[in-house]
Amino acid sequence: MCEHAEEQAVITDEQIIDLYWQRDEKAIQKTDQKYGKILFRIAYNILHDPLDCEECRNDTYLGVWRAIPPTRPVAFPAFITQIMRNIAINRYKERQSQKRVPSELTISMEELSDALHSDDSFDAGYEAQEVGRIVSDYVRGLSKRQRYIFIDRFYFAEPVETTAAALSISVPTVYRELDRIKQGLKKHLEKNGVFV
Amino acid sequence: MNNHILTDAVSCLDEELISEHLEMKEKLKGSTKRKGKKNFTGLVAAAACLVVVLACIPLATNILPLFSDRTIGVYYSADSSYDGIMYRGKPISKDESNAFFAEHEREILSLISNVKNVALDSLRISNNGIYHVTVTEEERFVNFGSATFFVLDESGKIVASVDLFRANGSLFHRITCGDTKIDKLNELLSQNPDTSFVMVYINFKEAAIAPDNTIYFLDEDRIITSGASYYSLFNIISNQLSYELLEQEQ
Repeated sequence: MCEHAEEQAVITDEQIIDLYWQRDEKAIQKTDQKYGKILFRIAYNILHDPLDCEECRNDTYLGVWRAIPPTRPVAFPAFITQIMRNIAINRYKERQSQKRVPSELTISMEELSDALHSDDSFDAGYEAQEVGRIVSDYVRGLSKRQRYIFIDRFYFAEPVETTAAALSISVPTVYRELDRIKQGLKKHLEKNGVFV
Repeated sequence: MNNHILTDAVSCLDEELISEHLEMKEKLKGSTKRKGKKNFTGLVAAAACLVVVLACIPLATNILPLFSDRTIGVYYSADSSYDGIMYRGKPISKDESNAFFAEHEREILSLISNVKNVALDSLRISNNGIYHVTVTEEERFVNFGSATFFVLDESGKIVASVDLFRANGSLFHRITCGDTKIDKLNELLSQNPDTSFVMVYINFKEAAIAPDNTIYFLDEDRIITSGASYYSLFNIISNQLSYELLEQEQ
């Protein structure tokens, strides 16, 4: 049996995708080597439970294995990131239905939700994808720093301290920026008729 | 405000935005190190390579049938009474596969029953696993490391295949049905009853090798009769096939 002694070589995303297309089990190994920790981090920010995170990561690998082929993702890290995030959020929702789950995701989304005025509710006609598109438009219009803060906080559910450290600014500064961002988002959503 | 809608909406953020974010994260990581400041947490570095959100991809948490022609492969055991299948030194033992099917058999057969529109009770899973072997130009030999079981109908005809494979210590499965290669294999088996074939990929083309060493390609109407003893070159225990087969193909 032939084995590849390429564990130490850096493998490109294209090469990993090729392995999936060839149905080579190394595809999953290489994905794990390159992105395992990142995927775990995404799940941990949402679930805060290492065992759940581990399960989500394995579910992610299965999801990717099933999807490729026929898919050939243009941006492989984005592809697997989204799969992992969706799996983790689904797990999170399951746990939420049973009991309140302390999670950075919970805190960050509650912050955003509270700022968008509790008296309003979404127009039932809007689906998440459409709202996502509207939010994307808004985020695109933010400054670089604000954009970074928004995505770090609300997509990756990073603690505010982490974002502050990355940007080399203080935590209160991040909170101030978040306030501005949330107010701006509220106006943008109102303008686009997302609320009823 | 509906948190779930918000959470899902954020999940659908534009791919380009996330890509840009990750690039910035990388740059900031480097910049922070150069300044000698401590990154708040090593986990930020771990998150630095993350990328973009695509349009929401529907996730299957249950089994999905595959109608693509690009299957893992359909194989037939050369030994009907296997105790375990080795790949890369790690086995899927008969006990483990039995335990797996004890848990998942109903679910798997129900899905196939719906897809193929056949009675659930008419289906059964074959009791022996099959291993995948690939011979390629680059590597001469590659073992996929998965075991395939067939789902048979009452007449013994293959209607679907279930691949078991291991990833990160867990056992995963994948169903394939409605594949033209399964049809070809059924045709081959009906023409050669009571014959055990060895199943391989040769340069990513699926083929079956009969005990008389005839090679039947499932993708095309091609047969090779070389006279070489390929069938006996196949080692069931270690899932190996000699590269002589590749040389013959070339």
